Amino acid sequence: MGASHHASDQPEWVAPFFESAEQQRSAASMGMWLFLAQEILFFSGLFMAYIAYRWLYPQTWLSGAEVLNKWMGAANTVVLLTSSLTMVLAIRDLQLKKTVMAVRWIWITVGLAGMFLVVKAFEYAHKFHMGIFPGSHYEGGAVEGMAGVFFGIYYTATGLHALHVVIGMGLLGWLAMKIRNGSVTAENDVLAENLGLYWHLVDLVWIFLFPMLYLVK
Amino acid sequence: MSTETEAVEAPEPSYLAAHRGWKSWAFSVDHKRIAVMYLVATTLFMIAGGVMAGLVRIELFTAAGDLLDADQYNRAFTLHGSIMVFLVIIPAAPAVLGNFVLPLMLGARDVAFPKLNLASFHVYMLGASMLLMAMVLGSFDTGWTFYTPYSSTTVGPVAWALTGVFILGFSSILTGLNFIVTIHKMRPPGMTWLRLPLMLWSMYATSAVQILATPVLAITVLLLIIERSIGIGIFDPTLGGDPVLFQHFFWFYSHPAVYIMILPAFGIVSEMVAVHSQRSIFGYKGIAGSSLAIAIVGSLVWGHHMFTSGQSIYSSVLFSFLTFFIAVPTAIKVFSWVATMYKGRIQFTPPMMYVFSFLALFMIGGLTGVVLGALSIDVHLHDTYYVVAHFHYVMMGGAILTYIGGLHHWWPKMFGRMYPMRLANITSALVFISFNLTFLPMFVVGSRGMPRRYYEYIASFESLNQIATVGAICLGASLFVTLGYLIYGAFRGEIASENPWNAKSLEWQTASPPIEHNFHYQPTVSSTPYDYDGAEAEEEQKVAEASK
Amino acid sequence: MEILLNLLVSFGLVAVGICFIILLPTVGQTLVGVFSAVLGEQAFSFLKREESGTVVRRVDNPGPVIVPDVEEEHDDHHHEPASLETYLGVYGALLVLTVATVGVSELGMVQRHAIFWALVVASMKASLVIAWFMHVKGGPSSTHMILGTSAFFMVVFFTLTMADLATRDFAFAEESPETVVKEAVREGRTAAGWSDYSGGPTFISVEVTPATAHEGTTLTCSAKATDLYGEAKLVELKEAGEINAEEFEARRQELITLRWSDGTDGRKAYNVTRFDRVGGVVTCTAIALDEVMVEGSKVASATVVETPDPT
Repeated sequence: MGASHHASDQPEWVAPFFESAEQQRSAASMGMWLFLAQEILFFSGLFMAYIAYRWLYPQTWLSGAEVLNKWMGAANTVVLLTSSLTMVLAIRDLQLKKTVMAVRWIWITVGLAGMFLVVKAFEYAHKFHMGIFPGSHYEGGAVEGMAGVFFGIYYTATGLHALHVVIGMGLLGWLAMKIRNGSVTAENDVLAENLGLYWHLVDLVWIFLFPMLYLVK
Repeated sequence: MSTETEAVEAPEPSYLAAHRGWKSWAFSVDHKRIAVMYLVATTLFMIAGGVMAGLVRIELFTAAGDLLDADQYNRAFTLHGSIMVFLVIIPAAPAVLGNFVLPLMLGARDVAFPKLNLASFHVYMLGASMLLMAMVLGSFDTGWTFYTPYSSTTVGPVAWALTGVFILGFSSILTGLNFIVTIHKMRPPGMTWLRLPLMLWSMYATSAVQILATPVLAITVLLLIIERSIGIGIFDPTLGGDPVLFQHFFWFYSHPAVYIMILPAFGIVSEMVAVHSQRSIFGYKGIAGSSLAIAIVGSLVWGHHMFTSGQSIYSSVLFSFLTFFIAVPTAIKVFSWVATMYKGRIQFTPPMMYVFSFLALFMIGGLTGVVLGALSIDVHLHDTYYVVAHFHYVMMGGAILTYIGGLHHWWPKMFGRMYPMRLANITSALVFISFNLTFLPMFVVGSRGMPRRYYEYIASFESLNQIATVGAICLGASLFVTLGYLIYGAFRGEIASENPWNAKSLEWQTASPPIEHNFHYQPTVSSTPYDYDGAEAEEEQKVAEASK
Repeated sequence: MEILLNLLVSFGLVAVGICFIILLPTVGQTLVGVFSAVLGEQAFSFLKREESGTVVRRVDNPGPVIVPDVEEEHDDHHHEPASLETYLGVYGALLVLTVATVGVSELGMVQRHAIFWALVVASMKASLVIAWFMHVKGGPSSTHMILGTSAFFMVVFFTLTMADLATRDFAFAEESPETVVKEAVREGRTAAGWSDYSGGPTFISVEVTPATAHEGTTLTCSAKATDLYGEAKLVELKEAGEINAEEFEARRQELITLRWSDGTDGRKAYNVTRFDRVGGVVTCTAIALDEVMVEGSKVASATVVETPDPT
């Protein structure tokens, strides 16, 4: 009896301490969901700051939101929702063994994410033009009240979200390459599903950020 | 050595001997090796934190501020708190004992994500280095609680410390994540949820809190760093922020954090009390359920740290009311443990000494916590030594000493050798006595008004403070003796058997120390690991016969 | 009591929000059904051409691969993706909800209620993404548990923290646009249209009656002003019904301090005595703070004349 035994009929990508591929897969999935739970609580701190200061400075929020371009925000929302769809289609195609299409959908997702960042960059540039820098560098006189707080929260929330988008793009690109070289397949699609979950979380955060920041009125 | 060809394989080496060289440790994904690395690290950091405590206590020997000036004193207690909380207590029981014991108790070969486990250790070391870097760069004096606006405006290497804390949070989260998935997915055949060892119920609750509460600390620390660097006005009142909001953010994590500290200790006590009384645990479901209840209720009460901060009176009342509820599940546990010992065959082994010590110290700590939870009383006791005494009783007396007790319990399993038991018994008594000598007077001076975090105090408190300092020196000395004989035991102690305590849980059914892959076979269970009187086996038999 | 009401409202909103999130998969499913019926069949049929039974050639694979039917042979139902119509239907619903949410904000509802509806819609979108895109619907119960527990922790964090913030007594700077702009001007940060602000409340009238007085007469001073510091709070209390109109007036008057030329404060009446020089004036200065706590004053006076003969 060897020291490390696992059912030798399991595929090689199953780790030796797991009894079966199913066990490994459901463990990985649960692990990913726990990570998402943690991300949710992480962003909830920003939501809490938003709620607190919106309560305390309602006028600032009204005038601050006017500076933000609602249509760009809406466009970004549509872009991210579409990227969520393409992600889901990518996983679906992977599971249907249509790996070429799957890889294409993933690159489209990455492209849409890039589009999101471009729109965001335009928004930020527009604000910098107006002198609205984060924090103590705030020079814009266009917003009344505690503008520093509003824009502090705006920049922190959107900045952190954008960081997650960038990380997501990198991870998805990596996934695309793994599908191409065959290490992620229809049977071994856990990585794809988990990264899909991450991507949907990024989308979810934006789904809430958009109305909260842009649609105050 | 016989050379008969009896198809006997060479005995597989233990995990300690399986590979050699520092790389085999630093890059090991074996949960046992990772646990030992955590053990070494947390011990070193505990010594560092203890040195800080020593500085504080020696300064407080006299009423005047003579040894340290005010700034140095502030840095001393800040470092003591930060090191002890973030580098010692929060990681110690989960990452050392949890890591080592959890897969063994489940009859598993490793945790669900061994590489993540290793990552969590390296992340821990990275975070620790940053925190210590802050110390090297001149240290910070904000208190481990980092209250704004002082922490958001003071000059100093606060950002290093905050970044370190941020990174340490991830280590905690990864450990918790690993444990939950392992407990869910890698239980052996026959181990239903209600047959789980209670240590694992506690680890499960701990891990849930780690995953859900730690990210809020992460965002708090991140926002504070941003506030410090570019002043967004989120916590600084001069910029429009609310310093009490910072406290809400901070304590939303830090109160559940104390449950991260104590829940593993509860699990350790459950194991030790059953094994060393050789008795089935009383009220298994109560203890299991109360672990979850404590995790949940514990996340509702953070405002009781903020009664005097300017919080609204209505929410203070609400938090005070909720705080009282925690006592209920905790008491269920304590009563169950005591009932377990009744009519048991109590062995006066060092782990049992630590169980007794826990029951006494945690009772004092827990009850004084309820006292502090009463709003009207807390208004007077807040920021006095009463609070300091309370949390040292629960955090040190309850969590750390029980962790040390757990080390005593599992030491033979971890290293295959026993420490000198007689010496251990005596030392544990010394630890207990000096602990009380150190912290009991603090209740008195606190209720008489001595404020905490002050480097000098009025002369009438001096005699009690001197007792406390003497106690602290004795406590430090006894802990060093403990460290000494444990190390001695690990290298030179008597060889221990597989199951020196006659325990029933799975980790004791394999070699001491275990082989790298823990078990030679896939263990199965058919009862809880507390079936000392055979009652459960009987039940099982009856059920099996009835269903035939 | 106002605070209890605030607490109840916040709890109520949270509870409703949670109900929406729980019930919305049902609503979402209906929406999805509607959309897939309308859109799924026709508009996206071109995507369906690559469905089951098609032969696909992988670039790096020498031979053709037969794509199996949508109903997988795997015994593991995780591998079974939901149908294309479902995904597209969800996507369509999400787009509609986004349009709706922007539309509602364009309607310009009262600010206080707008956030509620915006969050309701956001929750609906979130439940659709969670249920279908993230495969939670039909997934293992542990996933539901993890989600539920996270949501619980989050809601607890928001609720109990807001229970504190919402019930405090102290006032942050009153935030009417004028106030804030006045402050900006006062501090030297420019804002158009207020460059003539010189600070202090606007006194509508300060009067001393009678305009002339002699020894033994009683002078009365009255002052009226607007934009006083603390006035808004009184208005709030009056509107909430906690003080009646009389008390409101009385307290509002107290916001203005009346100071006579003899240096005494707080009396409406002043008796002219022989110490008041004939030919001189008795002044009443009304002093008050405006909303940004800049002090202003206005003076009114009465002339002292010779006591007329009793004849």
